[in-house]
Amino acid sequence: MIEKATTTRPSSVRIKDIFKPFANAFRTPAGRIGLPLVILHVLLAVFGSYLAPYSPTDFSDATYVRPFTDAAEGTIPHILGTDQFGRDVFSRLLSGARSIILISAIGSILGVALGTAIGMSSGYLGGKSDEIIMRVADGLMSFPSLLLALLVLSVSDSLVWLDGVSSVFATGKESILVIGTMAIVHAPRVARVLRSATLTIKTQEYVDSARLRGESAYYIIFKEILPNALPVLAVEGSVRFSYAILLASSLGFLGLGVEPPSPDWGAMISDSRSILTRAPWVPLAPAAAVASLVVGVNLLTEGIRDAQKLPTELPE
Amino acid sequence: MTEKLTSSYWSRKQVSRRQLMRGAALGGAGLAGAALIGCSSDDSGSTKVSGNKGGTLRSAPDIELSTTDPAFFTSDAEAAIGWQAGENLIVKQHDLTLSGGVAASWETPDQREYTFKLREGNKFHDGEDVTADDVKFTFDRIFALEAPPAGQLGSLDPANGGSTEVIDDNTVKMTLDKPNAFWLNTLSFYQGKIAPQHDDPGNWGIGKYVGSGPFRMTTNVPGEATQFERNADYWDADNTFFDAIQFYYLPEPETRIESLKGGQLDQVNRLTPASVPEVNASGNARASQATSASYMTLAMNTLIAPFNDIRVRQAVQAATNRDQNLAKVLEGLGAIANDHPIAPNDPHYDSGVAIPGYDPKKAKDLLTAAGYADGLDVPVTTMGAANHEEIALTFQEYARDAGINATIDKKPEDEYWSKWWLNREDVQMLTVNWNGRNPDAALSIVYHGDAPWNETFHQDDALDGLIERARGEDLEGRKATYSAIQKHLVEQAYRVIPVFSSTLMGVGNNVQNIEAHPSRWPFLSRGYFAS
Amino acid sequence: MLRFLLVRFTLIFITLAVVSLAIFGVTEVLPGDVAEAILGKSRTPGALETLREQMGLDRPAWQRYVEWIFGVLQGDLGNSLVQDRPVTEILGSRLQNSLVLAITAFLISVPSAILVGVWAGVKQGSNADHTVSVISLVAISLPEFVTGFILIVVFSSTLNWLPSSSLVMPGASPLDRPIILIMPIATMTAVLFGYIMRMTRANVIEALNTNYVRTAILKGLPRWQVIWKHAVPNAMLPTISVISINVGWMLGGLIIVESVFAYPGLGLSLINAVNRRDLPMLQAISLLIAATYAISNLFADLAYAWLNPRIRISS
Repeated sequence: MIEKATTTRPSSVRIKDIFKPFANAFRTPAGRIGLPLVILHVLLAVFGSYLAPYSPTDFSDATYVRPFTDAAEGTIPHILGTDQFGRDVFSRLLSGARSIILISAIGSILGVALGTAIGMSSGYLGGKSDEIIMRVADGLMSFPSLLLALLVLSVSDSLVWLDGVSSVFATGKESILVIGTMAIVHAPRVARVLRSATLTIKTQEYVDSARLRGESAYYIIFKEILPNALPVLAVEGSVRFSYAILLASSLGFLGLGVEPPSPDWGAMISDSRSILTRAPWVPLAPAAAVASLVVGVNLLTEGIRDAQKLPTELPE
Repeated sequence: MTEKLTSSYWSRKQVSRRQLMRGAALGGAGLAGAALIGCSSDDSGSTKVSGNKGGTLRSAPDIELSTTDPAFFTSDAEAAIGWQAGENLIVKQHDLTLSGGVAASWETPDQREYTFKLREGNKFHDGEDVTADDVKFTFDRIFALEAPPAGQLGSLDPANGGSTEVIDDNTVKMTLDKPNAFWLNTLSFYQGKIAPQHDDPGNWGIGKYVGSGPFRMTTNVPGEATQFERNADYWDADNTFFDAIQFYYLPEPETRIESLKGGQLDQVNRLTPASVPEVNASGNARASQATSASYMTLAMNTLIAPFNDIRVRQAVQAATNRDQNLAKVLEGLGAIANDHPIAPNDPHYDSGVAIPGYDPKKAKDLLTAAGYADGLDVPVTTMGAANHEEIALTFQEYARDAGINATIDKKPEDEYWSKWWLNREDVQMLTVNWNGRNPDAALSIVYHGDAPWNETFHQDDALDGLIERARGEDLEGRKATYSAIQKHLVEQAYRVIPVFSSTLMGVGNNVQNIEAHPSRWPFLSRGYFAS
Repeated sequence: MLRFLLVRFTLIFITLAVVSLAIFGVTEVLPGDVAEAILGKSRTPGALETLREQMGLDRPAWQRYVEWIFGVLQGDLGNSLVQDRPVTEILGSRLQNSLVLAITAFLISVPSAILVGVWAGVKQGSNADHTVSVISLVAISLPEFVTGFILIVVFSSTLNWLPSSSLVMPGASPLDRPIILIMPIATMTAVLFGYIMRMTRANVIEALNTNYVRTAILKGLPRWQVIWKHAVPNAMLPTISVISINVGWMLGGLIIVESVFAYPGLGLSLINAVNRRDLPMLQAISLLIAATYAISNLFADLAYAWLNPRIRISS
């Protein structure tokens, strides 16, 4: 529950308002570490494949090379070593950044957007529909996110209409499903949080006056309530992002949602099972990558929260 | 009136199952077979071993397990059950010699008529005697049900003029349509467990197996475990030492190997090449290795596009890098193969048949000629066990330069043989592993038009003729015929076979007398614990 | 209070209804042709027909749903398509195994996390507090399979102290060889501990800053009494909600942990059911997990209401 709701003048949401919470976070000790870490990962996701010294899928005769060993004359060293096929671990790591960050980001943005719309509408409109929506949300929230994802992915083969969608976006069917599942998983939780925020905000004077002015519900929700819910939204979005990364990497680990030989970090770890003793760097590199990314996002979340000086919220 | 879904689903699976069979003779058996022409042999197969009685052997086969009907054995686990709880007429040992199982002795004047004298007093686990009727029943039903082994048993098929006759309670006579030099060797096929006529395997259901082998199956739960206890009435019970055997079905190949390394298992049927150094260094187990004619293959569905076009198949052939397959997938533990199942150390192998090299440009030209100038998208069906995925990955990697864009479609290990192999509608190309067999068996079981396991669904009468002809020829004649077959197979490229793979079995340090078999069969019954 | 209870119980049923509808909807309505989804397209037409008949797929979806629910309420979860045995028979031991893992992890992590959380909250700003915070942050940032893998690499591959997979012989209990439980439980405990500790710490800090507690300090009450009799009880209320949420997380985490260690529990059965399209198993396990989570939420609500005098008195 929000104890200190702002009584600022309502205004529409501008782009710079979205970035403000993150910029503010940088002023806190947690955010000072978290934000650069996240930005670093995002940059790697965007530019990673260009920076990679080797192709992520090319076999070579240099198998089981340990990290930080000197390379033969005239060849680029394998900084993080190679696997049993001679593939460069560092290059695979860089290429894998894109898919996990992209899928997690899109999935959580969709989920937050969906949940915000539903939660705010439900909170503002109230009544029977609010009750029903919240019951449905509770029902969906009773599924651990991994379970829901597994259920959806288990029927993925039979969803033929998905082929059309995936060819439009030039990506695998599984990726679309994972993104969609993430949105479904996150929306109810976000809806709950935004709904309570709305309940508080809608008691404010300016909301009353907007209603008296005869503004439509749509206007009130998006122009009055939303700007004031932004602080909550920023925290939620950040938290959702970290969960999305955990979910995406877990699904990759289980072999769902990715296709070989794509260098998905989770899949890299589970595939390395057979060479665990001989080449422990092969799973440890993506493990460190996932860990650093999620640590970064979690620190960023703390930073955003601290910057708002809000009392600490529940994680979900 | 319908039965419960699952049981009729189950029995339907049993009857219409087409499952990959593994295991059979190794190349070179031609020689061993030749030695037995016209000779009789006695039951000297049991070399006396002095071992400690007792203990329970903990073993982990590959996990797919769908039937206990020996005629339909396909997967590693099913075959393993057969080896412990059942017995063939004739058994092939590690050194490729043949010894008597249910049959005590045999003779054949002309390699066409075979008379087997069965052991006296041999019993099934339910107490009934093993008689000639049971032998006839075992083989007749294979043909009646069109079970998978019918392919390699073509010589005995009544449709071709073969027959199995009961002479008396302990004497069986097999008459082949034509002489077959490999016949005795072929009889050691792993579905060849003698089945009881009085208890039709078709009615068993998954929890039951009635055989005459050294161990009796007591429980069988797919996905969990199978238990065996020593059969004290087995004719060679003196040479059987374990009190009991347990199969555990652990979900991933790696967990099986890890459990072996950690000492929780005494034997694992299959090691990955990458794990061999680790197993040997574990202090608890060792890797046992045997040269083998077992092979890995990329099988193409010749019924549907694009592989109904021979040029596309030849393009795949040219896009295959055999050296890399041997180096990366097998880590050198095997040999280069030439798109046919006759191994380099087999006398019938013709080194004059050129091995197609890795030639991406040639592949591209072939694809262009076939209408795929912009490249070809191929989904490769595979699974995560038995080196399949590595073969698929290697193919994908090196075929890229040839304009072939292969995507990997990975299926679960425990339904691969029953659902995806031999699937003629949904699958274009898939990875398959085959155990080594003698040349006739290896060709008959998959390349013959009548073979239930013809995994490329081709129809090639000329090839059938050559295969059948070779059976009756002498060594020189066979070499010539098989040479023609080898050339033909390389040309037709129904399947690309890049490598032969050595048998790799993991055995606990405390276990003696269990070693890798050239046909990858887990002979556990003669093993014993050292302490 | 009674009214509160009644309302809560009714809500639970609605929630469970939504859960079962969601499960049924995803697995049977979404795929279109369920028989094809299970057997694949090129199964013999006879097999498809048999399956359709047996599952009654020619009947409308709502009818099948009702039948399924009635069956569940009577304890009949159907037969596994793969193992040809009743689901309840297969899941019995699996559930037990998972419970061993979950309950042990819970019993270890919750008390210790609360204790450490209180201690860290009280010693806020100290080096010890910072260390604990950093460690817990890393713990909650690692996906369970990463934690599990790291443990395996360190304790199995390198040091060889512990077995890398948790093999349990069928018929035996995991308690027969407790050594196999160590790493899976450690993995589950790590994240649980991290979340609960951080929550407790934050709540304790907040509670210590309330006027109520400051008054108690000014009144001269001994420090330990202030902490344990005033601050902590207030901090516990939100912590209980967190604990129940983490039960839900833990049920999801079980799936991954069991997969990493090949531990024969519900999670592993779920993954097998997903891979092999074993519909009855999939539905049953999903229902079990989601229902457990919903019910644990209910308990958390009840505990919260009971502990919170405001709710207890006013309702």
